[in-house]
Amino acid sequence: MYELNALEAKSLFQKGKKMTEMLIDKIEPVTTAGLQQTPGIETYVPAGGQPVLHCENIEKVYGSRGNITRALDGISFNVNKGEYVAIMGASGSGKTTLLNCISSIDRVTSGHIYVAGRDITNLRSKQLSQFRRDDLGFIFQDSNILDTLTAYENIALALTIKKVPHREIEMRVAAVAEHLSITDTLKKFPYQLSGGQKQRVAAARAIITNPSLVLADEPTGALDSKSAKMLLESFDMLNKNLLATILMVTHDSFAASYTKRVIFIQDGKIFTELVRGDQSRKEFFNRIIEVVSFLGGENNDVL
Amino acid sequence: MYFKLALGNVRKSFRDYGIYFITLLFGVCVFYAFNSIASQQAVLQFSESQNRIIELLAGLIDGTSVFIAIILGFLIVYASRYLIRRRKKEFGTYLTLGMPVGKVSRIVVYETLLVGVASLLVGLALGIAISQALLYVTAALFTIQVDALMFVFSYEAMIKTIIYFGVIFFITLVFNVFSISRYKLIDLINADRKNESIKLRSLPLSVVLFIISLALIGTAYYLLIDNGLVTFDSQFATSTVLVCVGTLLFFYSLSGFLLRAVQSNRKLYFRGLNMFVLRQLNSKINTTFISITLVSMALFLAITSTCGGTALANAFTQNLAANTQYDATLSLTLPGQNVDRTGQAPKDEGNRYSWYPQAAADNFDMLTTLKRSIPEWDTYVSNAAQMNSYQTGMTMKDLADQGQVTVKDDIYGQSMDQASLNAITVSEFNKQRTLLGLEPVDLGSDKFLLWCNFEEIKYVYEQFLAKSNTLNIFDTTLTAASNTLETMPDRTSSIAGNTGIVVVPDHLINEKTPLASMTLNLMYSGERADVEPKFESALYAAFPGPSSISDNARIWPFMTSTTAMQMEEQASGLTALIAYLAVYIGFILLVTCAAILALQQLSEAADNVSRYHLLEEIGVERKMTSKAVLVQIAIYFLFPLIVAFCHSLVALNVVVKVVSMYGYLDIALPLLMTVGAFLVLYLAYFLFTFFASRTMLNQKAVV
Repeated sequence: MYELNALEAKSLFQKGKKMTEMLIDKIEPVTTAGLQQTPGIETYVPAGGQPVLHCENIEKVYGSRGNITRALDGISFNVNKGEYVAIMGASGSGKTTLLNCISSIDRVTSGHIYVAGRDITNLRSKQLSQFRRDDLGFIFQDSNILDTLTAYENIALALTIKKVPHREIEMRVAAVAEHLSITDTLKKFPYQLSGGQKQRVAAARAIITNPSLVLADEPTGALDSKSAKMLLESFDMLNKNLLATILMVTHDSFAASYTKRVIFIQDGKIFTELVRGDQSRKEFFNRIIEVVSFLGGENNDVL
Repeated sequence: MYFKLALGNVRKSFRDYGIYFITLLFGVCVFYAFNSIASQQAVLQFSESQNRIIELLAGLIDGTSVFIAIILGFLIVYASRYLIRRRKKEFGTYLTLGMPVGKVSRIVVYETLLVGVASLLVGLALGIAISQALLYVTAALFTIQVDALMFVFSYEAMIKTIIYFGVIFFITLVFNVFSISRYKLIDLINADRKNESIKLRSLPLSVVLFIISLALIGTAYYLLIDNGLVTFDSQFATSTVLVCVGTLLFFYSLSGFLLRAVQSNRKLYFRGLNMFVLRQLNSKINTTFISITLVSMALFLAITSTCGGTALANAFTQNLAANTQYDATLSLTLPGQNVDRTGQAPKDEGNRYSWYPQAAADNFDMLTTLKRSIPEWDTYVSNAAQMNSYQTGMTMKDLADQGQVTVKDDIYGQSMDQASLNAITVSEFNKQRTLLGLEPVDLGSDKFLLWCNFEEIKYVYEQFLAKSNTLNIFDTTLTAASNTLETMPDRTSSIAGNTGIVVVPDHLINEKTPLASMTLNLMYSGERADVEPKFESALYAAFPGPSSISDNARIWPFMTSTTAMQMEEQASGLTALIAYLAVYIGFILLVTCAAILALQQLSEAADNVSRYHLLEEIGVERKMTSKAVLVQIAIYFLFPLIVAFCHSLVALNVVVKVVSMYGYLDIALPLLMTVGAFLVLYLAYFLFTFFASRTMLNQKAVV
C-alpha cells in the first residue's frame, strides 16, 4: 500500500531532503547565557558550536540512608550541535543511568540537565512527554519498534503523535528511509526484518522528527559485526549529512571509534575524554583501546 | 508453606483476581437465589393455581440451571486460564529454583480452592440475601399480602449450588494442573519477552469477507422475517446457520476491514495513535474472533429472551382488563356438524349425544339447567346472557372473496378457507351488550354487523366493510348496518380470540339452523373476590371434573368455564414465570459475556505493557495513550453489543408479530428497561476493564 516507484521515491527524497535541511536551518541557536562552565572539567567546544546538551554537576543516588549507591557523582559535560559523542564505561559505571537521566526516563537527585537550552530536571510529566517527543530521538539495544506496525508505520508514528500532516509524513519517511537504505523494507513487519534492519528503522524513527539530540543505548549490542558496521556507518551519515547530534552509550570500542569524541565514565564520574580530531578511525580506535585497557588495568590493580 | 504462598499470591494479585472473583460471586449468588424459589412455597400463602405455577417455575429453573452451569463452567475455566497465563514468569521462577512441577501444581490447586471456597461462601451469603428480596418480588407479582418479616432458606438449593460449583471448580483444577504440566521452562522464563507471532491476512481478502458476512447476515434476516417464526422448517434452520456463519465472518474480517477503510483515508490513518490502535485490533483478531462471536451471540440470546419474555408477559397483563369484562363465561362447542335445536339428536353417533335430550327439554337454555342444579344461583349471579352461534355454511375465505379482500399469505390467511364463519342473532348480541352496559343495536330485517377482535384477522373484516356493504348469507342479501367493525369482547378470556362472527336479524335463524357453539356470559351479584370462591365451589359441586368432546362426556350445560379472576391469576403467574426465567438467563449470559470481554482485555493489556511503555518513551502523552486504551477496549465491548442488538431487533420484530395475536404488544418499554439495566451492568464491566487496564499500563511506565 505504500508502494512508490523509483521515480516518485527520488522526487520525494529530494523534497524531503530539502525540507529536512530547511527545518534544520530553522532550529534556533540555543542561548548559552546563564550557563556556567563547571571549573576543573575540560570541555571540548568546537568553534561556533552550540551546546545542545549541557549537563551540570548531576548526581543520582539510589537507596536510602545507610545504604547509598552513587550511580552518578557530579557529572558535567556539553554536547554541541552536530556533534557525535560516545559515552564509554564498564558495566555498572553509570553510563546507562546517565542516559536515562538525559532522556528524562529517570530523574536526577541533584544537578541540572539542559537540552536545547531548557532545564529538563524540573519539567512536569506532561512537559516531559512533549520534551521526549519533540527534542529527543531514541535508539535502544533491543530495537524497540512496535511489532504490530509495519516499518513504515513505526517511522511515521514519531510524526503522527506530533500531529504532523500526512502529506509531510509521507515525504519525510521516504526521505529518511532513502538515507538509511531501508526503502525496500518499509512495507514489512518487524518479524520479517533482520536485526540490523530493525535498528535502522529505529534510527529512522529517532531521526525523523529532527530532534535536538539522538540518544542511542548500546545500539549495536544485539547485532552481528556486519550489521553493526552498517548501522554505525548509517549513524555517521546521519551525523554528517543530516547534521544529527548523536549521543551514544556503548561499551564497544569499535562502535565508539566511529564517533568524534568519547567520554569515559568510571564509578559515576567522568574519567577522561578523547577527541578524534583529524585522526583516522583506526588511530582513534587504538587510542580508545589504550584508555579502555588502562581502565581495566587500574581495576586489576584495585583487585 | 505452599498454602502460604498461594494465599499470598491471591492477596497480591487481588486486582487480577478481582473481576474473576466478582463474576464468580454473581454466578453463585444468582444460581442459589433462583434455585431457592421453590422454597418460597413454605413461606408465602399461594393459591392452588399459584402453587402450580411456582412448581412449574421451579422445574423450569431446574432445567435451565444445567445450561447456566455449563455457561458458568466455560467462563470459569476460561478465566482461570487467563490468570495462569498472566503468571507464567512466576511459575518459571519456582521451577528454576528447583520446585518440582507437582509442587507448582499444588500451589495452583490451593489457589483455585481458595478462590473457589471464598466465592462460594460469600456468594451463598449474598444469594441468601437476594432470595429474601425475591420473596417480596414474588409476593408483589402474585399480589400476596406480606405482613411480617419473613426468612426463607433453601437447604436443597444450597447443596445444589455447592455440588454444581464444586464440579465446575474441579474441572477448572484439572485444566489448570494440566496446562501447567505442559509448560516448558524456557517458555515460562521468557514469557514476557515473547511476542505472539502475528499471523497476517491479506487486507483485500478481509474487505471481501466483510462484505460477504454482511450479505449472509442480511439474507438470514430476510429469511427469518419471511419465515416469521411460524414453523421451524428448513428456512428457519438456514436462517440460523447463516446468521451464525455471518457473525463469525463479520468478526473475523471486521478489524481488517476497519484497518483498510481507515487506511484509505490517510489523513485519518496518520493521525495520533489511530494506526497503532487499528493495528493492535488487527493483530489480536486471530485469537479473539471466535470468543467475540460467542459473546455476541450470547448477548443476542440474552437481549432477545429477556425482552421477548418481558414483552410477552406484558402483553398478557396489559390486555387482561379489556378481555375480562364479563365476570365469568361458561361455554360449549357442539361435537358435530349437524346439531340443531329441533329436538332430534343426530343419529348413529354413539353416545356423543347422550346430553341432547336434556338440553332439548330445557329448550337449549343453559341458564334453566344451571339454576335447577345450583339452587343458590341467584345469590351469586345478578345477570347472565346466552349467545348461540350458528353455522352459516360459509368459510371466512368465502366472506373475504365476496368483499374482494386480499388475504395475507400468513398462517391465519392460509387457514381461512378451513375456518367456518358463524352467525348469531341480533337479540342475543344485544343481551351481551346490555350485560356490558352498552346500548343495543337495531338491525331491522335486512342489515348485518361484523364482530371480530382477533388482532391478526381484523383487517379482513375492516377491508370488507370498506369495500362492500352487502353480504350474501343464509340465501339473503343483507346490507351493513355500520361500516365499523364491532370489537367488544365475546367472552372472558386471556386473549381477544373472536376470529369473526356475523350478527344477523333474528328471522334468519330458525330451529333447524345447525349450531356451532353456545356461550353464557355472566356477572356476579357482588365483588369478584367475594362471590367467586362460593360460585366456583357450587359450580364444581354440581358439575364435577373437566370435560371434553368425547363419548359420554358432560357437554351440557357447559364444557368449559373461565372466570376473570382465574385469568388474572394466570396472567400474573405467567408474568412471574417469564420474568424470572428471562432475568435468570439474561443476567447470567450478560455477566458471563462482560466478564469474558473484561478478562480478554485485561490479558491483552498485560501483553501490551511493553508497547505502551515504548510509546511513552518516544514521548506520547499519557492522555493520548489513555485514549488509545479506551478506544481499543470500547471497540471490543461495543461491536459485539451492536451486532447482538441488530440481531435482536430483527428477531424481536418477528417475535412481536407472533405475540401480537395475543393482542396489542408494547415492546418499547420492556425493551428500554431491559436494555437500560443491561447497559448499566455492561458499562460497569467496561469501566472496570478500562481503569484496570490503564493502571496496568501506567504502572511500569516512565517517570
